[in-house]
Amino acid sequence: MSDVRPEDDGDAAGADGTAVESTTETESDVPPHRAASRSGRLDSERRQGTPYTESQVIMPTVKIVAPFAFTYGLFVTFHGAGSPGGGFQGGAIMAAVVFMIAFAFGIEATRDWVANTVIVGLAVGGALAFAGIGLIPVARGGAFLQYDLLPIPVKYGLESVEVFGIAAIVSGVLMGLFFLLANGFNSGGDGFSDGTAAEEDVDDDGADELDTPDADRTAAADGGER
Amino acid sequence: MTDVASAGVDAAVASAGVVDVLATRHAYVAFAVLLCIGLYMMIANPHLVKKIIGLNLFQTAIFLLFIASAYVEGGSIPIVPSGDVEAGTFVSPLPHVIVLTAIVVGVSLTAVGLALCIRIYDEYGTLRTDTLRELMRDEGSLPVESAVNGDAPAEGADASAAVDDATADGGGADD
Amino acid sequence: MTGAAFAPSVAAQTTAVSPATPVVAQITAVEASLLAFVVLTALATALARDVLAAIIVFGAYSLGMAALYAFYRAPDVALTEAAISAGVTTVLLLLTLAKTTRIDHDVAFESVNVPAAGAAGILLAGLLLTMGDVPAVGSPDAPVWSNPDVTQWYLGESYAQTGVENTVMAVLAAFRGFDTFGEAVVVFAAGVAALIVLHREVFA
Repeated sequence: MSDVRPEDDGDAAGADGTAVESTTETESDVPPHRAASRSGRLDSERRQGTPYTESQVIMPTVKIVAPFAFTYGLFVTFHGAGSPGGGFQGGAIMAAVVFMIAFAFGIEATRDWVANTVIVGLAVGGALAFAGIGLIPVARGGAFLQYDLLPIPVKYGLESVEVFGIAAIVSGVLMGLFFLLANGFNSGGDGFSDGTAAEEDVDDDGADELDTPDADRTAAADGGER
Repeated sequence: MTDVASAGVDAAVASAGVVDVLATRHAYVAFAVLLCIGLYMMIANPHLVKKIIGLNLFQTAIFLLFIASAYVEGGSIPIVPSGDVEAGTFVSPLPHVIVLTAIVVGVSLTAVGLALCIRIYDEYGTLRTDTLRELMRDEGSLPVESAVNGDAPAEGADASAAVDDATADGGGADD
Repeated sequence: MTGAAFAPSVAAQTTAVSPATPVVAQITAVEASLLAFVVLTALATALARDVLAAIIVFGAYSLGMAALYAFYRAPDVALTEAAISAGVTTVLLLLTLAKTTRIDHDVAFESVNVPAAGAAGILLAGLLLTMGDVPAVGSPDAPVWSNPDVTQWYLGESYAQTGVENTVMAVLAAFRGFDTFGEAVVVFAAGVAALIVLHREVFA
């Protein structure tokens, strides 16, 4: 439950001398600074119980559109030099394709398919590639990002910065933010330990569930303005 | 009589001038209106997510200002075919660069703000700033103001357990 | 009202040319309708009571802004705005809504907070008073465009120095490359910051 969690840094509840350290499931010892919701459960937790529903319209559409959209993202990235486009646009389009797939097939399934290594590798690799391409001219005695000291022509230096640097960073970070916000906050407080609790979150699709919110809001409705 | 006539002509010129100004600086007028709508959302709406939407409105209004300032009548997109600048007029690419960077920075800002909103909701159970202020006052994170709004801290409507001694002792706790 | 403030600058302007003929072309129908659409959707976003309705109208607003940027000959910016603002920001807002609460409301529109509207109105009046002094939209003698040391230099030198035809990318990656590096690091830092805020070590 998210109402109780271990006190980690002597909050206001520590003023009365009793530090609440148990992670019990009961709601009786709610620390005084934690707001107890009227129904005993926060709205978002009630919403997590809704199972993922397959949509017969979204799934085939995404199956058809996703490869083309991804190819368009790559096209926009690679052709940034001669036509409108570049790393930002292409990276955002490719991340949006992953969002589309997540909406169609379930966020949990997409999360397993796009492993964390890929996301972190894209983001970190992009940052290192950008910095590396920028620092090679410095090693050769020039200024930061001085392209004519690179072994390749200037135009290809620019394009490599855009493709391997910017597009990688933007797509990696945007995908990571999507999965991060979809996970929400697991207030068991053990996200820092080994992350095994992260996979225990029930499958919830943000956009699909908003179609059937009727049963979710009864508790919140009588809870007044929240 | 000449004063009246000149004043009349002045007023006519002025009113035609206002319409003229609005007609030729339309993008800047829209920028001003959007800026103020975004500012209003940030100030007036008590819901945190709506404040973030207002921030995004504000940002996109600024982007409109930059892009409209770069536009030249009869100019084409800033792609110069084979470096032949004399082939035609091109709009200025420099504000485009600023706006590109700013859009991406804006989405990063929005993402971190939304993560904070999720965290706040998990901690306090609400996303409205007025309720949040009451809750934080009850738990002692905010200094208790002496009857500013008329509601005493002990009667916080959404407060959790009525541990009055804890809140009384926690009044002087750290932030 | 504000006519008196407009009178000195505009009177000087219109007596220089013939009265009631503007310096540049008038606003076109496409432009007017796009601007009106953008302003109306922004108003609807501000006044919608339900957060979900506000987010959806905000997506429409972002699309209108992307179309406006495309109209002002800024295709890179239009692509970025459409992909990121209308795509990613809307998705992130909806995800946040799914993880937090949402109340069903009976009324469709919020009540206007008058002091805040007054403050915004004062800012609007101040900005509109300066409208007479900015150059018209698209005028060829605006300093941004006509100064030979600024825009014209970049337009001329981009292909010669970098071999890239897209001047925006040339400025972004070559002439102002360090700013782009800083911006990429900011994006990366935002990812790390979101991880820290939500107490996670892994994204997925």
